[in-house]
Amino acid sequence: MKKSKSVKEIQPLNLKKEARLLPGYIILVLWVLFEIALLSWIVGASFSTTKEIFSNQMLQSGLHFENYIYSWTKGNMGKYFFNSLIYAGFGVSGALLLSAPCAYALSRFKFFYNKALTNLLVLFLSIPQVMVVLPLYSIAVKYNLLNKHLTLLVLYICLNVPFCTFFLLNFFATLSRTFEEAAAVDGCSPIKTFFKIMLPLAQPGIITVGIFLFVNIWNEFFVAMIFATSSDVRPLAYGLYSLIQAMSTNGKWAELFSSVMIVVIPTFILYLFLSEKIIAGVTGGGIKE
Amino acid sequence: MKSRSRNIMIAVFTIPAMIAIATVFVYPVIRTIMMSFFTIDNVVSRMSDWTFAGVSNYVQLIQTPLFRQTWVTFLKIWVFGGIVIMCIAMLFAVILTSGVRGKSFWRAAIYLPNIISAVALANMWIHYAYNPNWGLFHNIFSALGLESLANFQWTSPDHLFLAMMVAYCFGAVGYYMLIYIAEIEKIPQDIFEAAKIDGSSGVHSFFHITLPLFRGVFKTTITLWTTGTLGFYIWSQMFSSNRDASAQIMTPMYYMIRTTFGDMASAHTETNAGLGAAICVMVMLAAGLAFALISRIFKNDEFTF
Amino acid sequence: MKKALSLVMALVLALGLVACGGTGSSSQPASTPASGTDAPEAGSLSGTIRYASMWSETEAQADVIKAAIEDFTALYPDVEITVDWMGRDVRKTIQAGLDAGQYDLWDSPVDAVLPNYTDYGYDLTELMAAENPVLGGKTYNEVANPTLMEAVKDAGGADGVYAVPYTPTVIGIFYNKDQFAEAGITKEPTTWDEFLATCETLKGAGFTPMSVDDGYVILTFASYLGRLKGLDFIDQLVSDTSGALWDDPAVVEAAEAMQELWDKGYMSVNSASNKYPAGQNEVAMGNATMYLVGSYMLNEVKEITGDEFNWGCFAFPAPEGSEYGIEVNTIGMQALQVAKNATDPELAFYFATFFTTGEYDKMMSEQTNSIPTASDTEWPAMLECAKGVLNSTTVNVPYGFGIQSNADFTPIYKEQIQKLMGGQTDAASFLAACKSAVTGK
Repeated sequence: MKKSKSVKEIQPLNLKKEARLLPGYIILVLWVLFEIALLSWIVGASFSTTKEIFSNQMLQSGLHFENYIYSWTKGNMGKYFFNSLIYAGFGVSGALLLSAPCAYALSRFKFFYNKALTNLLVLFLSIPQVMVVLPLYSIAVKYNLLNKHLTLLVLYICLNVPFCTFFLLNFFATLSRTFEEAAAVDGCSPIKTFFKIMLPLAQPGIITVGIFLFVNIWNEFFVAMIFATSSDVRPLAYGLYSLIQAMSTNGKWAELFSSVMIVVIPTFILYLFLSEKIIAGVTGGGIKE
Repeated sequence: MKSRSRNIMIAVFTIPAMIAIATVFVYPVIRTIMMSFFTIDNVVSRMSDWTFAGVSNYVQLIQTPLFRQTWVTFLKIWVFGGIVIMCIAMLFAVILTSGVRGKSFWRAAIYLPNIISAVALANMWIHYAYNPNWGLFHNIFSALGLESLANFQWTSPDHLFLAMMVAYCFGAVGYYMLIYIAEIEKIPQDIFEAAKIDGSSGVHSFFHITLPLFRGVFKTTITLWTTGTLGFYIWSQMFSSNRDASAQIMTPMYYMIRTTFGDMASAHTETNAGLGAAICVMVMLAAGLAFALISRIFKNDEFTF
Repeated sequence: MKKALSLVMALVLALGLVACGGTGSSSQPASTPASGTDAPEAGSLSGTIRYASMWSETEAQADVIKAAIEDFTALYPDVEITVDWMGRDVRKTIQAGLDAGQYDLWDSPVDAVLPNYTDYGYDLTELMAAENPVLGGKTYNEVANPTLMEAVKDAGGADGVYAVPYTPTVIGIFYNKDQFAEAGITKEPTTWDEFLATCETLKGAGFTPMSVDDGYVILTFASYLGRLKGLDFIDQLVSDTSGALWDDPAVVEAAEAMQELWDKGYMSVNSASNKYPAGQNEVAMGNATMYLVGSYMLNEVKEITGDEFNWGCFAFPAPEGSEYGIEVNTIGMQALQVAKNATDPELAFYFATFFTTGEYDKMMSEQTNSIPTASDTEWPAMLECAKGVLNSTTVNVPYGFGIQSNADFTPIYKEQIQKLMGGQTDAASFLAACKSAVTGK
């Protein structure tokens, strides 16, 4: 995947330097080989029969593509896939829409609750989700909000606001003030300045945090476990888990692993193209080639 | 800048986010704390049906051996898992910034497990890697002639915790590695060049240049790790059986879910949502304690992302 | 495809109804109400049923229920049925849903639901004795399986009947009949000594007599002790914080019996590390002979065994001096309950009886490889082996003789018993660990 890229950057071979790096290479190669062995087992299992999986005879009877067909249609993975797409897509947009202006205001202006709000953000950033789940659950039950796409969506948005705001707060702080000063001289209102000038400037940070959130919501399990009790609204990760629960009645393990692949493949493709961005999301954009 | 339009802007920009935070954080946190002092039949019971119980929920929890054990498990994950993950992550970060070829390939490959659902990974570890007859570990150690290691029963109750931690750490390393790589790359290269000219070795410059500059990022990673460990749940669930939880790998979070929503084994025992809430409060107190400790140790350091 | 199938099903059902009407004692067609009862006319049922299902939409059970719903609403066009496929999570949210009056009908495994939710249930006693339009004018009691009805009444713990049972299961020792034959064993053991002799014979013939995994490992010790001392004793054993009962000779005997299984080489060497479904898979693949579990296991391993596997089954053998003989077993089942505040309890009940009897009982049993609910429905061939145990059971006890009733104890016990049966600890340490788990010391 990424290998072709690095081949292009061939540096003159410096034997002495490479020899010094040898221990590092050995560790990397062993680790990645181990990882490939593990992950290729999942791929192999998804094309085998259940019997082959549990008797160490994977792929002995050829490739069983029907596992995938079963997962997609009977296993509901198509539905879960669509749900995850909705949550991740709208969830990210919503969280950014709430967070970006707030982060900008916090990073640029002094007002009486600035400090308090910033501290609160850090506090909520560190509060485990479990702390808030029980009351939210009882609200959802009380107002008949369980098993609705909108409920999960609102939760995904709101629960991510502190992280998103905090991340962008740091990002806005790194942007120079000269642009706004120039805009102010030109008589541009602050709100206009934000949308016309600052938001485009902040794009790298917004994309970064957006992708990071996307992957997080895509793989979200905990909130879905509590709030999505019906299969109509389940996202992928929890849908997968409910498949495992169903294993205890039908024993279709091969189909479980093909379902796993259906979850992994899109994320993996996304990762192939966007791994730099995703990685940058983890590290707050401070990554160099 | 006119102060009126400025104030309007601040209000417009911050109030929606504040409403969101208030809905999902402020009110629930307050209610959870209140719930922990009551006996509550069901998590959805109305407040008028709650019975005040003082601190009896806390007392009951502390007197339960299984619950005490969940905190031991948490500490084991926090300390041992933390040390192992941070060390390996740091090792990879150093290797990858030392000028190896194909850096972005290695980096992407090591981070890869983070994008795969834990549900999938856990099943792979349990049914393949740890299989006592033909699992990956069995085969590797057999090939190396290490019979006693090859016959190691990874998933027996005594070793289940270790097995779970190996599986979990293997994935988590990539995440912290990325943070460390980014931090190392922020260090101006000329410091290292100067050190090299002064004749200091790579190891020497790691301990004397890299580490001291790393205090900020350590603060960040330890904070992230603490929050992550307090919420440690899904791996415990996956490494338990389909029917019952396993004591060795139960975390406070898992205990809370099981107490509040029940599992197949506890389906016919009475539930008390107040107990669940009390666990939540304990988890939050633990978080507070840990953060106080962290900011004490890293007194003068900012969070660095 | 689906449509075609449901059409066929509708046809089959229609024929069935006609046949019923034709051969029944009444000469009138099924759709005409018998005079003198207030049962509604078959074509006139109307209303809505909101059903919270314990099945995931992906399970074979859901397919059968869906087919049943299609037919039911085809027969009664004015009936609307909505289903939330909740899967096993149903127990997590059902109480909230019932409080809010969101559901008319829900189901769950019988011992997980009935004891807690009797208050929410509608007493079905009268409806069950009255003529039932969907049963061609018979009453439900006429077609119900008496063994299951007893179990439902027991589990409810109150006067009255609060559930319609379906897909029963029975716990016993399931074994590979071919390996028994090869080892020359002709008689299924009924006492513990005979069981040990059976193990010895199997071992001598080169087989691994037994396997366990962490899924059902709690059953063996619990069954042994349960047979010896009964339910109340076990209940006290796990809840009494003084821990005194853990020194009882019977408990020591049970623990030592478990250790003996390992010491004599009767257990699979993987017993300690087997994670569900590894233990039952060992039996399915012929690597071990016996496994103590519910009859649902046969369907779980069907992907491995195929249809031809020759299964046998016997009740957990009785140790000497047992209080409970081998006629005491665990019969599980799913229980459908009608909500007390249902919009139309009768309608919900009729639908519940519709899909748990007759054609749908048969279909459920065939497609999910489960024991049929009605006593006269033909059993799937694979499960025939469990018929003896089910039919000879006169007293029904909870899963594991109730050893899981203390949720704070179970996770510790589960690990300890797996270690004991897998040779990683001895009886004395097992007892000490369990004792400290209940006493808190």
